[in-house]
Amino acid sequence: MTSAILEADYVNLRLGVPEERFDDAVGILSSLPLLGVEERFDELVISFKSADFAEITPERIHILFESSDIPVEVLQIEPVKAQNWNVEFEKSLQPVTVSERVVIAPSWSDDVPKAGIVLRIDPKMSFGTGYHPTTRMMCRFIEQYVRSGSRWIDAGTGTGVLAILAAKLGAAKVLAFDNDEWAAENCAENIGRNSVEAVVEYMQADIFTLELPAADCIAANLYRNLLLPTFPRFRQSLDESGGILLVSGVLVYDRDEICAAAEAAGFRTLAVESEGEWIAAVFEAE
Amino acid sequence: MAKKVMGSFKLQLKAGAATMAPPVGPAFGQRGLNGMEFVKQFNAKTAQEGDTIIPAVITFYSDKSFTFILKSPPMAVLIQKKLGLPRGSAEPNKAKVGKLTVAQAEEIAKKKMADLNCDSLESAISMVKGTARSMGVTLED
Repeated sequence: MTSAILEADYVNLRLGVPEERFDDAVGILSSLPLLGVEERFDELVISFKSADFAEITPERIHILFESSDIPVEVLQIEPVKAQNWNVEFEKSLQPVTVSERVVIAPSWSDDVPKAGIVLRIDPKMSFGTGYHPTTRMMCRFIEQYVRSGSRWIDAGTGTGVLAILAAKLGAAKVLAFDNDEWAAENCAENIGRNSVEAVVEYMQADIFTLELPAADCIAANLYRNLLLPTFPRFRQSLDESGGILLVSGVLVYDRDEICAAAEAAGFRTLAVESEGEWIAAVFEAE
Repeated sequence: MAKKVMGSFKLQLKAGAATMAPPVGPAFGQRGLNGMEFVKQFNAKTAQEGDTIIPAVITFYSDKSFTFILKSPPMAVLIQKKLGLPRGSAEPNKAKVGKLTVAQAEEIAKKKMADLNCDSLESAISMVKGTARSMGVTLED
């Protein structure tokens, strides 16, 4: 292993493979701890976390393929430093009007529509710019359900947009967490940018291991598979308050399953909205 | 005016586990596309597939928007999953690692049919059998 590989965050392994054998080659490679594969012309680029690449040598690749009839050539092992790969897209961001009262705008934008609350959000490869329907629906629900002095949890906070909105609308305390390293830095920046440091606390944490504190409201713009097993713990966190759970990141096809799981955990469905192929729902602890 | 197709690219990613780490971040970033939106959609649409590798073909347009379609997993992955194998045999001619029934081969062929360049179920089943043999998986008659 070269020092460049050891110091890198990721490693790209470029393999020469005839295009008609891509499917078979990926089948063989799938036993490795890879992040993903990009197909190019007669070439597969396999990406790894550098820590996972330590055991993978060109010899090991040849051993993997030697018993197959797939002609494979190791073209290059390329170290990759982590960076904000979304920067080009982020430069094109424009203010998003979420409701009559709320606008989300990047910090560099001067042309912001007039609104009672302008959230200044620079995403830096984190989710929550207002461009996605799930963020907009969650913002509108938060507007509806924030009470002055309430305690909130924002699970999977990304840019921190939902936590920051809850704080701006009068929440007394917001715990915002995400398991993503990028979100850690980005959420902290956005909290400062919107001057809500006294209200919003950020934590890098995993939803399956974090002990959720007692809260009045929880916002969880996650995925179906994260929500389903977590409903009982959300319910526990709202035990004392009999509060509200707002969820999104769920496809319309999964609506019935999500509502049934929430109800089985002790929630009552208050509202479900949809935009495109996404839904957002409001549940009340019974 | 209709938006113009600028190109397409293909990634293969673990179901429900895409992040902005390579290959997603660089592939979307170099084209000026919103990789975070892809991550959200891909994970929502594939989370039920366990840790299987799922191919996605992404088409992008002149206005920097994109659409994508999901393909069925590589055939070798489907065979491994069906038989509960961690991987194929290191020596497929000598060391056999599992046995695929005709019914299982047919099931996999049906799942892959839409992505294969063949016009009958029989030829799709032959392709499944060929891949199985190359992995050291024997076929039950």
